[in-house]
Amino acid sequence: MKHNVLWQILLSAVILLLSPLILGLRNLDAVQSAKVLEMYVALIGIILLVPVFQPEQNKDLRDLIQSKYTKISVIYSVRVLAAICIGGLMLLIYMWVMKQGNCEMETGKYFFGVMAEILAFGGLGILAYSLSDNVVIGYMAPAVYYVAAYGGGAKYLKKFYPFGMVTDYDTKYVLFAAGLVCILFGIIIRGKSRR
Amino acid sequence: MFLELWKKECGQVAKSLIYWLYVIVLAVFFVSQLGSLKSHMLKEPKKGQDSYAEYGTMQSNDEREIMRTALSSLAQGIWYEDFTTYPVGFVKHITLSEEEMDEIEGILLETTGMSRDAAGEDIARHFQENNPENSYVPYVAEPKEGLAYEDFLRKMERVSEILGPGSDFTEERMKASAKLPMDYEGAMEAYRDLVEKDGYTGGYLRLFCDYMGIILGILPVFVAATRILRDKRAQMQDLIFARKASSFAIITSRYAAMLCMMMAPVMVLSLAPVVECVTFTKGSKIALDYLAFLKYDLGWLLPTVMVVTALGLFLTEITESALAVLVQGIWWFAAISLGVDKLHGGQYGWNLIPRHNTEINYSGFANGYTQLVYNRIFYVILAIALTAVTILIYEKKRKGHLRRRGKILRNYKRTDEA
Repeated sequence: MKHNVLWQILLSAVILLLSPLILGLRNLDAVQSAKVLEMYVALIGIILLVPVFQPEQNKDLRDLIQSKYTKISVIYSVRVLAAICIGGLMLLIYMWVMKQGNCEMETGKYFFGVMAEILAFGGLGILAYSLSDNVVIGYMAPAVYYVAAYGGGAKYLKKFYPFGMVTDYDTKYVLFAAGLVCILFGIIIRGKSRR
Repeated sequence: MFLELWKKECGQVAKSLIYWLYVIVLAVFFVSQLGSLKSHMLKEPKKGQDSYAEYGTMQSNDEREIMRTALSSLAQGIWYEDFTTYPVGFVKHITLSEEEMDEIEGILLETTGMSRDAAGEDIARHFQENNPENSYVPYVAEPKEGLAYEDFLRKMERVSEILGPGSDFTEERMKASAKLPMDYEGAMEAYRDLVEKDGYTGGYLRLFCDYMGIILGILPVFVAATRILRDKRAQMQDLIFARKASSFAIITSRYAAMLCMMMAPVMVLSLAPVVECVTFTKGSKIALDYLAFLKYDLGWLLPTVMVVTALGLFLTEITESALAVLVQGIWWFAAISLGVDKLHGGQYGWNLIPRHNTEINYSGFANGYTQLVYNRIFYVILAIALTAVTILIYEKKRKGHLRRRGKILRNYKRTDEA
């Protein structure tokens, strides 16, 4: 973990720590709290999850690891799980800070909603990365998804609209499932990749 | 040499998957955001029309009205101890220190003659007389007799300083709050501006730039980063380093090729609003500006593409990682959030993504034009500077520096050892 996800953790932490400079974390109503969590905090999903295949980007290194007893897909899965746990922990701390600032929110509901979004953003990136063998495309996919949601909104994305915490909570279950499926396929495809 | 390299680089870009993803995303974004403009293209307004909302709103220049609106919100902010700002599009509740609160209460006293407690009583009386559960009648605080507008503006400027960025007490925000519904005369003026000063197409191309600027504020970085990382992954760097071509020629040809290839679909898409304007105004006597798309594409959008691409080249060349994507992502987020309350246009500032989310408001565009020109020139200069630094880094790498394990931070090699 120290070697592979440290800078992602640091970058995510910096982004969250800097947030009070630009957005309020005190006395927010339920809608405003959802906006901060969905549109800002969930972005750590892209930073934490997308680069999970990066350490084995070098083909020779990947061949070496694939020759070992431990399956490479197991290594990827452990890394994804670690990134999800770290994301969840960061989210919990952030929500705790918001609670201390008297922000309104249903903790369990909001936590699951944002985690679903983190999985969707990260999962989409992981799948795009595994299909293209290109980390930049891995970042591009969730970034374009975010921009599309920001611009087109719910009209086009329907059940895949990522900012539906207050308007349509069912979207969160869809995102959660879609995120898991994307992660699963991403790991399988990457695990079998000979490129 | 440059032309040959440029052609080769164009070929490289055209053969890459990321470029075609760029084109697809651009096209889908265009269709989903702008689609067919014909259904909402403006016709000459008719007297007695139900509403003139499509021609925008009118700004109240009534100084007393502006003062009443702002002072009402100041009095309520003080009484409820709740001041909110929108520094980057997200709401922020401001907590004031005792001294700051005293100072703001002093300003309320000087501008309305009411102390904090008097304001509280006035607000309570208003809402007792006008129960908000029946119908909402906004509270209004009257300015003190003889309060000069300039004096009022100075005091509100101080309130803004205390509250921080994104407060409701800046002159532009106070004016924006005092808006009136559009009437026939105002609608006619907006339409005449569109037809006579904008050549009709200009207004719609500004709208095109507004939307496409959003996506072009991030998309080029993916193409740029991939191009540099591809050389590294294919282990082509040493092969290219050994060539006769200068670092200047390699980087500038690569940069120019990326700009041309990325601007080509933008220019093709920008023809769509022009064609729609031509068909919509067929038979009318409107003198269309057929070449407006060139002015807007090159003047408004190209600087954005230039600086985003240059940042992508620079950061990818220096770190040999995808860091540029994350940095640009953060910049894009900040630029979009900062532009949220400036959608109507005219307030371009130094934002990477200037907003003008309407085909009208020519007067706003004309007023903000000089600032917009400065803004665009600044980003062109920044792009050139970043490209120049990229050339220097590339040259250093060719000479064997900055390459230990591909990370600049681990460069221990001294020049005389090279």
